[in-house]
Amino acid sequence: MVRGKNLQQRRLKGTGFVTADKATAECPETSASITAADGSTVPVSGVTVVDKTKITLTVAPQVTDPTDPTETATVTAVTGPNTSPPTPANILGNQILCDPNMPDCGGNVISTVDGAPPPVQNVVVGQKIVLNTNTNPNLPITPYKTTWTVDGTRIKNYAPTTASASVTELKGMDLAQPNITFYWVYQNSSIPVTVTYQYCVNIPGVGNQCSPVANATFNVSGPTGFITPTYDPGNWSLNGPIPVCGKKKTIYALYFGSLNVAESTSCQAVASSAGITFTASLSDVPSSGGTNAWVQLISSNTLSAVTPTGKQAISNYGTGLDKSFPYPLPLDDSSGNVVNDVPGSGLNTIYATETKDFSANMYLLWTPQISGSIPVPIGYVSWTISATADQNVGQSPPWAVADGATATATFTVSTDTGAPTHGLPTWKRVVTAASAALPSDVEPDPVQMDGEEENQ
Amino acid sequence: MRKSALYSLVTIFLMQTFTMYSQAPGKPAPGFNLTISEVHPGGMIPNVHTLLVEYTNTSKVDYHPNGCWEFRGMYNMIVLSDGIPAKETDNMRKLRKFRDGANCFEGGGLIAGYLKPGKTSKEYLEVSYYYDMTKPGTYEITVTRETFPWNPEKSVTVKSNTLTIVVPEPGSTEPQ
Repeated sequence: MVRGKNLQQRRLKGTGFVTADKATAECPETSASITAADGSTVPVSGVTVVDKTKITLTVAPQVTDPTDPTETATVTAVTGPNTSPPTPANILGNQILCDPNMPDCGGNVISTVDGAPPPVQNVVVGQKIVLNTNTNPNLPITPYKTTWTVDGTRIKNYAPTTASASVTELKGMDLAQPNITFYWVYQNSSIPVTVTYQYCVNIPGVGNQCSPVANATFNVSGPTGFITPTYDPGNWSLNGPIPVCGKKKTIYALYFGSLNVAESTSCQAVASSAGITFTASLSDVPSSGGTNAWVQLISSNTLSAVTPTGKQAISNYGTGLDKSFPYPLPLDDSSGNVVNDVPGSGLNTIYATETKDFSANMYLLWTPQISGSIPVPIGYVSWTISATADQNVGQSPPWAVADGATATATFTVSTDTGAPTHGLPTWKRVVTAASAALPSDVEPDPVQMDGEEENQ
Repeated sequence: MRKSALYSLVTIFLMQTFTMYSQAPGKPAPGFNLTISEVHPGGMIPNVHTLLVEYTNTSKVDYHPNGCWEFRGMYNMIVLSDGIPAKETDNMRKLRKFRDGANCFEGGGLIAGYLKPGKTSKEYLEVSYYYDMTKPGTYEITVTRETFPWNPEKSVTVKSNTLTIVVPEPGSTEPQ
């Protein structure tokens, strides 16, 4: 190109040019520009992409040195992804995909970015939700910010074992990753919950640009349920005499429920009736099906004693998970819909009276039969019992249940009680007869309470 | 996800269709048999292995179990790690100590219920609570139970099927 010759028609030859009728949002029409050797821009007009090998345009070089035949300029034709200052709509790869292993929606794009309603996904409480994003592989810039929002009560994990159970919350760091894994705890199918995703990049020479927000919508279904506690405050019983294993002696025992005294020993305690029975009834169970698991957390378990001379002693058996996870099923009903409990204690003849106080929450958990799922809470029964055994010193019978025995039980639907547990039962220790063993036939100690660790 | 799936893949159930027990002359034949399998009542949790113990009453009389949780099953576990007895946890040592000085009436609640002839009960036994199963390798687990735990002269040992669980090396994608 020679300066001083204004308004020349020029023809560019090359390959891969994109004409106007073939242009798309992702691959716009080829543009052309001319840059002089000194870096200045040479005005051009009438750029026309004739076909994929030919562009015509009109140039108007500056008249600086009409006699210099060696002055040159660079002609640039740009074809391919739009490199003009990006607008949010042009940042790609921002859709939400279900992980390939998720049932029903596996691998599918489930979001929209244009404001159109996304297709509603049907999932279940406790189901492992794994969402991925299809970050544009051609994007040469790493997003400086990634943002997920997830409505509803959602957690990163819940891991109940006999030793302990804890809830791992979904934290800000988890919400800033390209992919996300979480569980919904409570059903919310009547009001679909929303998940959004957006990333932002810094483009040199342009600045910070954020993608459009990708929206996905879920119906989170799950069962509703009720636990019926069956009990009677008069279910307390005084049982004995019961042989002590390996010793030529017998003991009496106070129980909520009753023992089969004829078949029982101190190491072979056979309960003939439960003090309290919990029966679950579920409705709106998702088609995936699921299984029940029961958890009982003891909040108080003491035996307070008074000697004939008025001295007092108290034994605290501790708080935490009762027996095991899951709570054991009765042998005559392995459906998982029924459990029972027969709390009580052996009695020591050195005391005139002994009072058993026990309170606990019996939880019903439900786990969908979908791989990778966790248990979620349905509801729980808070129950409290108390009774006093009177030795009737010098009278008969040797022990009897004193007047005033009580028992109460109330069902509550599980709800999100806030961080950190969100209504899920958690514990740090298990309470068993082994962990609660007391010395027997000892002089009463002054009143004292063990410093047990509280449940969360 | 991958790890969870892997645990599922590497769990092999070896079911046996007959009851195994050591019959001795003069001792009553067992009135039950045992079958074990692995279940995940708490979800797929690394290093946590729970057995479902199915006890079938093969006798002609009702079975009234010990309502005391520690003795209810009076199960014992044989856990081999690559052929060698696995390391016990403190929980197993505590359980054994408690069983030796048994007293069910010291603060623990009982469970009511009995099993009719021909019926099967289901009980959970978190074997990894009692034995260390964190080390990668092949674990062979058998549950046993005495017919008369408190009377060795009459008692017969009943064994379940043997369950094999492979714990993979961390980060591995294939069963060992």
